[in-house]
Amino acid sequence: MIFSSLIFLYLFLPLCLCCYAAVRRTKDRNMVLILFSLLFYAWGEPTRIVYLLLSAGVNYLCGLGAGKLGKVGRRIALGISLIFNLGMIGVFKYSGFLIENIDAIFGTDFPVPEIAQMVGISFYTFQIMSYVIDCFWEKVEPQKDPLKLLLYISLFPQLIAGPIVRYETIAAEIDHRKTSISDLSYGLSRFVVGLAKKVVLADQLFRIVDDSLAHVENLSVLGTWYGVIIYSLYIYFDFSGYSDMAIGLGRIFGFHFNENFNHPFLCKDITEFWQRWHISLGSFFRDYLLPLPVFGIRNKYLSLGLVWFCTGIWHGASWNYILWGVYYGAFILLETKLGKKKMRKIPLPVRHIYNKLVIIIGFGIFYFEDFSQLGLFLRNLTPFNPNGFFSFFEQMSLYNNLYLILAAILCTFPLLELPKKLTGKFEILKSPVSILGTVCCTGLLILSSILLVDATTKAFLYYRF
Amino acid sequence: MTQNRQTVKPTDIDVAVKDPEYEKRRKEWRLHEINVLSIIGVFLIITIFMLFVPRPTVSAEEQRQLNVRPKFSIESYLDGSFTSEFSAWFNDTVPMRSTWKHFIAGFRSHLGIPYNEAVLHGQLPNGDTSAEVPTMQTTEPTEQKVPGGIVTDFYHDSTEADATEATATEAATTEAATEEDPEDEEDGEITDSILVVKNRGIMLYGGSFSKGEYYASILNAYKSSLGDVNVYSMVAPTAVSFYLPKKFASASASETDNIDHINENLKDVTPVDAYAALLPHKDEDIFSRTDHHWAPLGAYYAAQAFAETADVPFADLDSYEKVVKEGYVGTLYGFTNSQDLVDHPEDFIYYVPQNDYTTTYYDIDMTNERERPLMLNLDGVERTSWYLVFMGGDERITHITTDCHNGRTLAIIKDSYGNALVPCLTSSFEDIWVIDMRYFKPNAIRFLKDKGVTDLLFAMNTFSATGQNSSKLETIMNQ
Repeated sequence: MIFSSLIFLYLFLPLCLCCYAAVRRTKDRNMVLILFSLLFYAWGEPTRIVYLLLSAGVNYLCGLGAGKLGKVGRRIALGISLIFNLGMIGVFKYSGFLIENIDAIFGTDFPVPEIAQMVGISFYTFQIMSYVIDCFWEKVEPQKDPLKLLLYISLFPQLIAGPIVRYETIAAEIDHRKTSISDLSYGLSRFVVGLAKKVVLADQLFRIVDDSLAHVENLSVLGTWYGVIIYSLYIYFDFSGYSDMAIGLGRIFGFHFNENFNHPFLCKDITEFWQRWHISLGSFFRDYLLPLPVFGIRNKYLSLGLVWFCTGIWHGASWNYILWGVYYGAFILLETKLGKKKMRKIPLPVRHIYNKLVIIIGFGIFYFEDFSQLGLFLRNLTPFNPNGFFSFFEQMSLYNNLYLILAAILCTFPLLELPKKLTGKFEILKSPVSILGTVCCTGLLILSSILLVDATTKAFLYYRF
Repeated sequence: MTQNRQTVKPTDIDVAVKDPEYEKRRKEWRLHEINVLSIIGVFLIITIFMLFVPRPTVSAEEQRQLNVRPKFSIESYLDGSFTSEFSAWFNDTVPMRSTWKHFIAGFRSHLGIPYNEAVLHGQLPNGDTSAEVPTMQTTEPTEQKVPGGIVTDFYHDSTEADATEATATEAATTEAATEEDPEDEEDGEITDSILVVKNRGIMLYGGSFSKGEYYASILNAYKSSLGDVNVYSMVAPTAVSFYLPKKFASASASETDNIDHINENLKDVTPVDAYAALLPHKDEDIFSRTDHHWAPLGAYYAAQAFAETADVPFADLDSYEKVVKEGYVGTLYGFTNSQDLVDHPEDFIYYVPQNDYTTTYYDIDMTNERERPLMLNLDGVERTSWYLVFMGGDERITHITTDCHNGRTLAIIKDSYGNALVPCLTSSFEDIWVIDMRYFKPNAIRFLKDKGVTDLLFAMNTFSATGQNSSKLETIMNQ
């Protein structure tokens, strides 16, 4: 089940909210959330919910062991947890890819296992790993109540597509939380804004992507650039829309998740881009992977390489994702080598052009899992494109979608900060701005719901990670 | 202090309560309350609407039966089919679906501005696009069990008007969902290249000389196998050859070049120049604006060219009964969801031959013989499906015995473009057999010989002739 589906919005969510509101005690509310979270997951993975429960059970024990046992016991508990979690991801996400590559490199003929990837496995496994490691590092107190840990792992707002919520972020709120009227108001508005980002912007942009990048072999130079720019916008609204919905839903239930996006296209360099894009993943690798010695050596370049290799492969079992991660790693290394001072000396427009080019081409690498198609894409960006510099298609498509594209570009800026700034300065505007916000939210909710009637709605891109 | 408060007058209480911070918080609280109540109110209204308003079962615009609510079983739950089908049903059968679809069409039409008065739906054809749109082709009514267990032949004439409108609608929209040829999935390509300009949908043509050569080679093989039979090829151009504005010329391949190339490769097969027959009538309604087919009038002119080529009599248009159906919005709306098309319906005008003839239908394997009218009664048929008027569609074999006694037996192997030719030829041949190569089950050569065919016409549009449908001609020759 995905958030931007009518069944979630108008069957699952109302039922869940009614049940949640019907009970008052936090303990009972936790039970309601656990039951609905399991129902939510089981809707997409009817049988493999067992693995989720197994993961919760194993990591519950490992968390206790890593936090409470003696020196050796703690290490064993952490080791079991890491082997189990990485093993789960390895089997369900990377086994086919691994065998394919072994067969290709060594000429062997091992049968490639056809294991469908489990929805959200990358997200919830990373969450639970962060919990056990934090227990080991004594950053958090191990959770003694298995149901509370299950709630942390399975909490449906962030279960299948993030953000990757650390246990410490919501540990206190699992025990004691209160949804104030401002929480409820903020949560609902944020959810609707996220829904609109996904349905009104991302889904409409995807129609252009489908008509352009999906036929990259026919695109002109301008057409290829046009397609990949639209794809970059699409992926941003798709993923950040989901994060908005997750954060909004969390707030409705009294949880305060950390932000996952911070207007990434406003970045001045690639390093800053990754501080603004998928923040929860970047901070996970920064905190848990970067300090690790690689092959027993503590070297920042090796660690950097490992982090970006992992960032790439986390997104999918395909070489293009690895290339995508390493590609970013290379630019971050370049920026690190240059140093902040030298970077700052480069004129701002040049820095913007540089980072946008890197980001946009990067999303092209991200899009094409097939390397021959990726090759065509990279060629078609250049004057070596045999289809000419421009064609009728991008001209038509740009005109026919002009307002959509302008709106999308505008929405990459922090527009919602404006009302806050305005009402901060002029108290008298608070009521009209708030009422206007309410009208916009209800309008966007109605519009998004109607647009969802169209069957072309795509699942969230990050749903599969 | 407390005592003072207990004794103060009500006006003093008001003054005491009007603490600015408290007022500010109260105001904020109220604004939050308004926001929460408004959003939850919308959620509630839509939830009630979704749960309690009756759900549609068919979509006329999309010509398909909507998803059906699955029955729960442990097996279907465990294999995941129950949850996925339930979600599909819930999302697909939204109450007042067509109203929302119409709204979406309006919304999308405002996402940008027309370019030289045109809107492109999909991408440009890649030069090998083809096939005649079977995934969205005009679906046909069939004999089928309707709810309640009564077997109703939808294909009825005016004296058999007992079939209800609901039954008709249901029948007209069922088959696409149930009878899809797996290979037809590819044909969705065509939906990716439609230009809507001046309220007219135009399918942009990719063309393929190599596929045209293949098509010609198959027709040549038919001629070789059939010996003395006169074999004709009529590759019908589509609206793109007549109505594509010059400024968009580069967006489409030339249909006439492709037709000429096919004709150059024919051996002992006589080409019929439909393009030349249609061109002088460009300003008449020879092509539908909202549908991918030609209009019956266009088919009439093309049939006239064929009759002249085959040297057979041909009835004057005045001898037909002209029927006008207003409010036609054809298949291209389903493809494009274009507000321009749905807001500008057209007349569907067809011509009913008045000479004596008998029409017999068979299933695609030559079983289940039944006599029915040649022209379908369109009462109760959704407006998107009015092209079904000719024989009720494609998925059948049709035999027409006429009052023309010239000893000529015609077989037409066709796509749905060929359907509109049939009523124009009832005065031209003694016997007419109509088969659709996409569905025909017997061996075509044996069939044509068995029926004593003297003339064989291949009639299909350029998308079929230079697309995958041409391979089906080979299939039915060898099956």
